Amino acid sequence: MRLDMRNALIVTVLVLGLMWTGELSAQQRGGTLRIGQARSPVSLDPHLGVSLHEFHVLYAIFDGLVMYDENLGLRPGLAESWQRIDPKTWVFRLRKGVKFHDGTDFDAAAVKWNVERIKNPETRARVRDLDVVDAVEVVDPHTVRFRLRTPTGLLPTFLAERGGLMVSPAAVQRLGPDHGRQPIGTGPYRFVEWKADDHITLARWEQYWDRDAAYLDRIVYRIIPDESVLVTNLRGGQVDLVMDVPPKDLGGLKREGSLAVRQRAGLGFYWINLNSGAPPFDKKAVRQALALALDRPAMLRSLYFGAGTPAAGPVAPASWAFNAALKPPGRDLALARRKLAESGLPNGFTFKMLVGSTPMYRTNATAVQAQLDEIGVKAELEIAETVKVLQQVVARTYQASSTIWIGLNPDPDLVLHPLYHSAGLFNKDRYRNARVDELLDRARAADGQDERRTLYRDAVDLIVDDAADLWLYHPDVTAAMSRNVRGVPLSADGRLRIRGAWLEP
Amino acid sequence: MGASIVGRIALTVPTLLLVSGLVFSLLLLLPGDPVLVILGPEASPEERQALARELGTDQPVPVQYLAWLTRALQGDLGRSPRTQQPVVRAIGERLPPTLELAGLGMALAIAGGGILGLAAAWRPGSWLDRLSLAVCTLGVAVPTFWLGILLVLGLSLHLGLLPPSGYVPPREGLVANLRAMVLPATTVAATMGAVIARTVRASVVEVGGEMYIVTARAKGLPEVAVFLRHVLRNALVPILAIIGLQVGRLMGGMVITETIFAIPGIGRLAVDSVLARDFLTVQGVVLVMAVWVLLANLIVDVLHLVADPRIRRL
Repeated sequence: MRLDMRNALIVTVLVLGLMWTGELSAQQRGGTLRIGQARSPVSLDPHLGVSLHEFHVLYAIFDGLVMYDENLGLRPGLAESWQRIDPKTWVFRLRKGVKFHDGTDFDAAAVKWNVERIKNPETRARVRDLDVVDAVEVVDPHTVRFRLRTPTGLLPTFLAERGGLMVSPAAVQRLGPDHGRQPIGTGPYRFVEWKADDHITLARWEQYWDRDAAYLDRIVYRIIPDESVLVTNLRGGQVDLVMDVPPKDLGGLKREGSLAVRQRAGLGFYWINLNSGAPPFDKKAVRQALALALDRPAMLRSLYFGAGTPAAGPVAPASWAFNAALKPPGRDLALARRKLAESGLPNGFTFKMLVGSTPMYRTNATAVQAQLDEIGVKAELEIAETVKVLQQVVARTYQASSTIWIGLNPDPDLVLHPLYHSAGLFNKDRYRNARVDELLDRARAADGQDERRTLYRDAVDLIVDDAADLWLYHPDVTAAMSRNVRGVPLSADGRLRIRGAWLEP
Repeated sequence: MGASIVGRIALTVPTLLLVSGLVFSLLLLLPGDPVLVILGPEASPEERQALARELGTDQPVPVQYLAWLTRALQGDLGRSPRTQQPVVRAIGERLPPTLELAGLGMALAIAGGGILGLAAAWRPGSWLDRLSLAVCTLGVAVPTFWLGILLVLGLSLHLGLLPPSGYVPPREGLVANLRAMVLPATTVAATMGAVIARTVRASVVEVGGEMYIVTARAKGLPEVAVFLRHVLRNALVPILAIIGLQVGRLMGGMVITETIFAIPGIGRLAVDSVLARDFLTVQGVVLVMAVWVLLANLIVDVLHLVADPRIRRL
């Protein structure tokens, strides 16, 4: 009898195993996936760019030391494991036998070289997360030790971002500034061709360490700048996959039903950035009045075709640190007027709002302008090019600015620290709350997600009560693809993770 | 005639200098620092200063211009600090599609505009004339971007006749190349063709009423000879002038057409570079565009000399 049980168990395991391999073999090798996108990368050097859409290409060519899984949890990448030895020391064990696309070895020396490249001011890297690293030491060819300036539990997160994407030292030394246009990484696809403003072609890297990541023969990214024409190409079958589908087309594409349309809550947000370092927004009651005068659900419905969630604060419902108890403030004009009176401006006031030339910045600004008008607050819109907006925001010569924070923030630290810590990269001389600083510092040094969640929720409560900015809504992340495209996850950060994608014949 | 052409060619040099100098100073008047675009808002003032020193943007404008000019004369247009690509290469990659689009668009506009204009001038006031006027009014009034999108939706998505967008280099197949060019070239040609048609009509009708045409007919010349030898030749002078002007305007419209049809050309490079304050690339593009306009005008001038012997004496 016992023997039978054991046999049954063995048979079950075997059957399950067969089912599992059956599942695997369903994935087909071969084919060319054509991806359409409106914007062209500026550079494919992962350390030099900042744009979200560049990740769609970067994640195919480069591996991170640490990677995000579909749900933005951390998983091993080029590093197989990592360990925090003490508050300021981390050790990473590297995968063996990995080669860059130029045939050179990926090893501890390459990691050290990459981090030092990012930290060298001459490189002009836009990666600031690694400022926290004091030194990288090669322990043995497959082990590196990071020594930090200040304690942080966030190093693996930082190494899952641009700073952890490993470029070939030999290629950068050989190509110099041309590396950005013929990038060499260790990822599942190697670079083949970049025809400026037209297309980028990648081919499978045959020596890739993960056989279950590179199924396609080729990937072609076609740059189609006009959104209507981009969607037409998708409908007509000239491209197979489009990320960031224009919200106006989502409804139509879903109704037609010939394409697979995916949509999920995103981490970014449209917002009005308030310069709380100068009048009139240095007064908390003034900012609160504005926050109470906005009808977020109406804006989301009419301006963004409902493809999103009204924002209660800078941390989106899609984040693990989101506090469901926090609701977006409802529109309350009477209370808004009382807040204005409280701050000594019972008849309202006039301010200038800088608006980038992107259409969504403009429509958002116009809607905010109309809604604020009802409490006597007049917003004068100053439409300007992005560079000019940037200049004034950096110089703090602006009062308010209509803009977007794109979902580059799987970790709440990556949005809260730069925007609301008094030493934050984008916050100098703006929002200041000593208690928020303290909470964010503690969260950065902490280890466990539970402890950090509590700290971030407390910080967000304060930031929202201060009405530090006007958060409007979190746009959904979207993708539309032909029905034969498989294995493409859609993550809340809106980055295309193409490893594992395959085409059904 | 030879001396007159050489004189015109010689004039292009100071014109190019003037254009490049003007564009250079205009660019530097634009608000927005290229250093900020490259380093981002997170950079410290010291880092920005260091890059400005490296790029030379901390120098006075005339010094910057002279430095650029010296290098440009040696064929070095510099390397874009934004994309890290040499400017000469960036322009070289994008010039062929733009030139092809401009050439085909021009040819289509001249052929279409010519036929439409002549048809209208044949019997002024007839239904053919009125139809031509209607078509031309539409051609001028319809905005390029709208016409482009309509063509894509109609001919490509609904009828499936042509690819909606994209560029195929001629070496990858001439047929595929031309198929991809039909819609954009038509879009480019619409406005231009309409203007040409109206000019052709006006000019032909005007010349047709001249006394020397009456004389030619009275001499008993066949109608075809009257038209070709006397009407067309005399009507050609203002038509050539208008075509010359359109070639210059063409570059402006190119940006929109290239964007709609995803053609990797000079127009898109120009706009992207201006928006990013990528001055070196803008300077290179402007130089190429200026050469293009000057060359087109030179050709028109030479054609004028051929068409109208009176000009040769000036």
